[in-house]
Parts: sequence; structure tokens; C-alpha cells
Amino acid sequence: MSSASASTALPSKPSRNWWLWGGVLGFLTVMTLWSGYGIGFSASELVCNIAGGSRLLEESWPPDFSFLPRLVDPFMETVYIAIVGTVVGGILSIPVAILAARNLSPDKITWFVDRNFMNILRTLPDLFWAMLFATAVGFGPVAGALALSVFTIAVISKLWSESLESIDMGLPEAVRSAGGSWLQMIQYSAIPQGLQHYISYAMYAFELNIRASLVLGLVGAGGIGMILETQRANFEYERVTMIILAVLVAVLLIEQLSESIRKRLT
Amino acid sequence: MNAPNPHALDPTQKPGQTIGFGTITTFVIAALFFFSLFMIEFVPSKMLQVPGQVAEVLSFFWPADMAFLHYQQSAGYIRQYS
Repeated sequence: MSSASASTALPSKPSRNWWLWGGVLGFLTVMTLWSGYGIGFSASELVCNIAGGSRLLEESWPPDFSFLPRLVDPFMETVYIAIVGTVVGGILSIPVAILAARNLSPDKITWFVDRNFMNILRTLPDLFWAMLFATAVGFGPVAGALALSVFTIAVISKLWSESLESIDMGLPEAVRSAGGSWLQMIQYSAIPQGLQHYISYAMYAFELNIRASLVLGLVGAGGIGMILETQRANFEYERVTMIILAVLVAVLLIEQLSESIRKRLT
Repeated sequence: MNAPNPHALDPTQKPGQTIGFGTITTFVIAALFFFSLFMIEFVPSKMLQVPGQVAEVLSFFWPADMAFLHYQQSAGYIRQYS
């Protein structure tokens, strides 16, 4: 009887390691305070200047809906830039990601070179690429599309290479042991396993590119960002709010669309 | 009797299905891509000059100014602009 009750009794709750939790919390607090000191953060200054921020918000509301028709053409240009950037970058990111996956790369030297190539792409911000291509091909949407292509390669190749590293290696080994070449192994075992993730990342990159094109316009790379910068420079904050709302709606629509495509494809 | 399924060996295809959603989506994306290229006035011949022009612009960034590293690290840099 006693042994039965002992076996059905709930196991004792594991005790929490309060020292560990306290240590982590203390470390994070010290790091935050140290970083705040490093950037010269002042809470009193923030409180004193909060009126300026709220005045800006007041000037930004309500959005100027009469400005909406003038946004259609630049907004469509933004979409065109994002489509070209995503498709070109998405295709080019496939070999980059495969060679950067440790389990699929043909040799260590290729893996090392490709990994560092990816690191360089990620280190340089999209604004730098936009400036570079705007200087090279002139201001306009083509420069923006080229910049977003590079940005897309950086995003998809990093995410997808890590996904490919976690695939089941039984299939690639089966293809190799059946006499398949390296390319056949990639084609028949690695890509089919990683395709679902690739589609997700490509859709995510498209969303990112729509948002990134807002910033690219600041350096003359075309799209709605150029209109945003003009309105901001003219202190037309109600129009700036309208532009931000338009982009927000577009991003939400794209998210819904990509979700439905993902569900159908996978 | 039903006609033999031409995709009987392909588990990704439903019986009798000839064009899947993936194929249609690929064609739509390709069409959108070429339409977008046309709309942003993409000129293929101009792209041949891009590598040379990019290399020329990148040459302005090299060599890196190592003396600036110390200047950036000094606390005075942050204070100066804050």
C-alpha cells in the first residue's frame, strides 16, 4: 500500500538555481548600464526632450490621405525593385548557400572561402550597396534592384545554409553510395529536403526588400523612399505618416500572400 | 477502366495532374520578374559596364585608413558628436 502511494506521488519540483539566475540578471544589468554609459544615455535628458517627440507625433497625425494617389507610381516602382532584387538574389543565393553548408560543401577550402564571402556580404549594409551601385549605374531603380539583389543573397544564403546543415544526411549518402555525382546528390537529395525552407526564406526576403527599399530611396536608389525623404526634408510629416501607412498595408498584404503560397507549395 | 496515370512514379503529383501549383507560381514569378525589369528600364548592355564601374568606385575605399581606427576608438570621438 505504501509502495503504491509512493509510486503515484508527484515527483518533487526541481529546485531553481537562484545563483545562476541572479548571476545572469546581474550580468545583463551591468552590461546594459555600461553600454548606456558608453553611449552617453541620460534618463533626465530623455524626460526633458519627450515634449519634442510628442510634438513631432502630433504634427504627423492625421495622415494626409489626399497624398495617396501620388504614391501609386513610386510605390509600384518599389514593388518592381523588390521583385527583381528577390528573384536575382534568390537564384544566386542557391549555390552560395549550398557551398556554405558544411555537410554539403565539396571541400573545406570551398566552404571556408564561401563562408567568408557570405560574411563580407552581410557586413556591408544595404545602404552601402545602394550607394555603390548608384555611383556605378546612376541614380534610379536599377541601382536599387542591384543593391537588393546583393542584400537578398546575404539574407537567404545565411539562413538556408544553416537549414541545409540540419538535413537528414541519409539520403545524400544513399545517392553517393549508388554512384551519384556531387551535383546529383545536391539535386536529388539536398534541394528537395531544403526546398520548403528556401521558399519561406525567399518570401521573407521579399518582405524585407519592400521595407529596405524605403531606406534605399534616401541615397537615390528609386522607389517610395525618395518620396519619403523629400517629404521629410520639407517637414510634411502628415504625408510621411501616409507613406509609412501605405508601406505597412503593403507588407501585411505580402505577408498574407506569402503565407498562402507557402501553404499551397509545401 | 481509368487511363494510366502519367505521373504514377512521382509522389509529388496528384493522379491525373499535369500542371501543379508550383509550376504555375514559377511561371507567374518569371512573368512578374520580366515585367518588373521592363518597368525599371533595365538595359542588359549597360550591365556589362557595371563590374568595371563598381571596381573603380571600390578603389576609392582602398587602402583602409588604419590611423582612423585609433581615432574612432577614443572616447573623444563619441563625446565630440553627442
